[in-house]
Amino acid sequence: MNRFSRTPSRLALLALSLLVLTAVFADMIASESPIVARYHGQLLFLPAVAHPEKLGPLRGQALEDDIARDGWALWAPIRSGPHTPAAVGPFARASAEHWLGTDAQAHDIVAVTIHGARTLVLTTVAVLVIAVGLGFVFGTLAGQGTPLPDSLLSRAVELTGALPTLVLIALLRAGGLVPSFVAFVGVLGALRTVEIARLVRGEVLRVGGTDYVLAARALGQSTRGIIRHHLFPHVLGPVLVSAAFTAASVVALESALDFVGLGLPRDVPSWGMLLGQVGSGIRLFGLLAPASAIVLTTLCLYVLADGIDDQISARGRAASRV
Amino acid sequence: MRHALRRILWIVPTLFVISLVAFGVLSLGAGWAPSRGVEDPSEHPLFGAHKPPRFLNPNPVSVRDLSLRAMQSVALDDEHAPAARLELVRLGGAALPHVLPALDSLDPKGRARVALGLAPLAKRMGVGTPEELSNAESAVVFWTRFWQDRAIEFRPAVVKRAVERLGQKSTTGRREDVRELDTYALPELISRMSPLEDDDDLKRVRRVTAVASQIAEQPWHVGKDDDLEEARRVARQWQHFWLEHHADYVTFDGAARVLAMVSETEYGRWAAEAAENGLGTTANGTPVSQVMRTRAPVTLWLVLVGLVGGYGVGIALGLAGAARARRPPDILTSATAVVLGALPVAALSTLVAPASIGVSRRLLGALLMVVASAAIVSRHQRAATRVALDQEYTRTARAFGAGPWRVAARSFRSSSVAVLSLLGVDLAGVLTTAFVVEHALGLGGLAAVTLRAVEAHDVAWLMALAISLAALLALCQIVSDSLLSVLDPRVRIAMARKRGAVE
Repeated sequence: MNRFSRTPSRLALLALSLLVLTAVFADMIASESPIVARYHGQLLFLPAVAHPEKLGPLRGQALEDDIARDGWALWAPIRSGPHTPAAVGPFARASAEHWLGTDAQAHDIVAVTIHGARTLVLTTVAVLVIAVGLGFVFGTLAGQGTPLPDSLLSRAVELTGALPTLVLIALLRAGGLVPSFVAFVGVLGALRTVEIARLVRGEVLRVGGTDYVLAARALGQSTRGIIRHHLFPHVLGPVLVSAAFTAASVVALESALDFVGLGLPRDVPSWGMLLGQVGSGIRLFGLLAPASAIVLTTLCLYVLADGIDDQISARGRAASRV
Repeated sequence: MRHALRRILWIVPTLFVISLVAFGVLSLGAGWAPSRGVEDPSEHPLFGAHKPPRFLNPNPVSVRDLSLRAMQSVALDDEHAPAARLELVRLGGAALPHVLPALDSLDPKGRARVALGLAPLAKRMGVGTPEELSNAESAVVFWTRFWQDRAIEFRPAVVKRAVERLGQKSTTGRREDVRELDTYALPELISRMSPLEDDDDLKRVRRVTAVASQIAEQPWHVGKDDDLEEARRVARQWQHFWLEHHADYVTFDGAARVLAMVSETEYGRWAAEAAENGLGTTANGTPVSQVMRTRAPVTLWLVLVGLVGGYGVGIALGLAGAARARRPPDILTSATAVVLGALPVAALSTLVAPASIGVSRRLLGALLMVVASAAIVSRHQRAATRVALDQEYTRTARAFGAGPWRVAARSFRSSSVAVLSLLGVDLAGVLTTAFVVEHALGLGGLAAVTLRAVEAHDVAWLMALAISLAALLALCQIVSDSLLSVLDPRVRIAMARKRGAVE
C-alpha cells in the first residue's frame, strides 16, 4: 500500500499508545501525593496507592513542608488528584495551580481528565476481551455448522437490534442488582460479541470452502491445525478492524451514558461525567480537555480501523491479481 | 408484500419475549410494586399483602388457603391470632364457604374462638344480634345454623341474580340481599360497574359502588351529584383494586387454577394492568399512555429529522465526495465527516449547548441530529460510490466521455443499497443520539422521563418504553428491508427463493 495511508494510522497508533500509557501511569502524572518519597526514614513508592496509612494524617501543603523538613520527595507533575477536592472550591477559574479550573465536586479538571483515561481504557479492554474472545469462539463454532451455536447466533443477531443500547442499560440500572460498571461492560460486551461472532462466522464460511483448506483437510491436518494455520490469519484483520470500531463505540457510549447520568457512579472520574456538568456552572473552557480527548481518541480509532482495512483490501487485491 | 405482512405478525411474539426479558431484568432487584397500592388492613407477614412469584406461580394462593390459614391461627390462638382475626373479617363472606363447614373439624375451644372472631363480619353483613354473637356458645350455634340456612345462597347464580336486581333498583331489601353475601358478591359487583355510557349506567354504578364500598370497606363510591366522568374514575379505582386483590375473594378451580399459575405472578399482574389501561400507570400516577403522548413527539421528531436529514445530506455529500475523489473539496468534506463522525454527540452537544440562547433549541437539536448521522452516512455512501465507480461499466462510461458527476449520480441505485440497508440497524443508534441531544438541550422528551424512571424504579414506564421502542425498531427494520428489495432486484430474488424453499 502506498505511504499516503500508512502515516496517519501510525500517528493514530502512537496517540493511542500515549493514551494507554497515560492510563497506566495516571497516578504518577496527576496526584496530590508524591511518586517516591523518603519520609520518617522510610522509602515510599507511590504511597497514595500502595499504603496510604504510612503518609500519616497530613495532606497537601502541610505534608509537603513535613517531608521537606525530614527527607525528600519526587512529586507528580500535576499536583492534584481526581478524588481530593481543591482548596479553591468548585467551578474555579483556570489558574497556575488548576490549569483548567475545577469541576462541580471541586476536583481539578486536568486530573479528572487524566484519570478518566484510565477508566476509559479499563472499560474498553474489558469489553474487548469479552467481545473478541467470545466472538471468536462463537463465530468459529457457528461457522463450522455446529447447529446450536449457529442458531443461537442468528437469534442473538435479531435480539441485539431490538433495543437501543441506552435503553438496555437503563433497564439494567433500574433493576439495580448489578453495579453500573458490570452492566455497561456486560451489555456492550454482549452486543459486540454478536457483531464479531457474525464477522468470524462469515469469514470461516468463506475460507472453509476454499481449495487450500480442502487440500489441507485431505492431507490429514486436524481441525485445530486448519483453524490456526488457515482460518486465523484471514479472520485476524477483520476482527482487528471490528475491535477498533468496538473501542470507538465504547468511547462514544461511555461518554454518552456518563453524560446523561446513566453511566458509572459520580465519584469515578470520567470524561463524560465532566461533560455532563455543562449546565451546572462549570466553565466551558475547562470542558475543552475532556471534549477534545474524546474526539481525538475516537478519531484515532477510526483512522486506525481505516488503515487496517486498507491494508487488508490491498493484500486481497494483490492476492487476486496473482 | 406478503413477506412484510408475515414479519409484522412476527413482531407480536418478539415483543412478548422482549417484555419477559425486560421484566426479568427489572425485577432482579426490587420487583414490581403496584403503582397505586391500596392500603391493606393487616400489614402482617402471614396475612394481608403477599408477594407473588415473578413468572410462574405453581401454587396460586386463593381465598380458600388464606381463610383456612387464618382460621387455624384464630382457633389455636397463637401469636398471629390478632392479625388473623382481622384477615378473616377482611376476607369476609367469600371466606365463609370454606370456614363454616370446617368449624366441625375444630375442637370446641377453637370453634368458639373462630365464631367469636367472626362477630364483626356478622355486624357488617347485618345478621345476628349482638347478644347472640358475644357469647361463645350461642355464637357457635348461630354460625352453624347460619350455614345450614344460607349455604344455598352462596352460589354464583344466586349472587348474579341478587346483584342484577340491586343494579336495576336499590330497595332496602335488595341491598340487604347483597350485603348478606358480603365479599362473596364482590366479583359480580365489580363486573356490574361496566359498561358506563349513559345515565342508566350511572344510576346502576352508583347503587353497586355504594354497596361495594360498604362490603370491602373502601372509600370509593359514586355520590348523588357525581357525573359520568367522576363515576368512571371510581369504577377505575375499583377495577384496579380488583386487579390486585381478586385472589383474596375468589377460588381457583380447574382451568382457572391453571390460568392463575400464570396470572397470579408479578409479570401477570403487570400484564393485566398494562392491557387494561394502556401500558399501565407511572410511579407518580399519570397513565403511561398520556406521558407518551406528550413526550414521545419531541424524541420522535428528533429521530425523524436525524434519519431523513442525516441520510439526505449524508448521501449527497458521499456522492459528491466520490465524484471529486482526492481533490481538495473531497479531502475537506471527508476529513470533516471523519471528525464529525468521531465527535461523540455528547461532546458535540456540550459544546453547542451554550449557543442555544437565541436560536430555537428545537432547531439546534435537529441540526445536531442531522450532523451526527450525516457524518457516518456520508462515509458509507462515499465508500460505496467509490466501489461502484471502480466497476468496469462505469469506467467504460467515463471513457466514452461521461462526466464524473453524471457517473456518480447514475451509480446511485447500486451504491445506495449498502447505505439504506443500514437504516434499520441505525435507528437504535439514532435513538441513543436523540436521548443525548435531548438531555443536553433540555428539550423534555422521553429521555428526561426515562432518567427519572431509572432513579424511581418505575417499572411501568420502563417496560412501556422498552416495548414501544422495540416495536418501532422492528417496524423500521421491515420498512428498510422492503425498500432494499425495491432498490435491489438481487435481494428480491433471494427473498423469493428463500420463501420458495420454506413453503
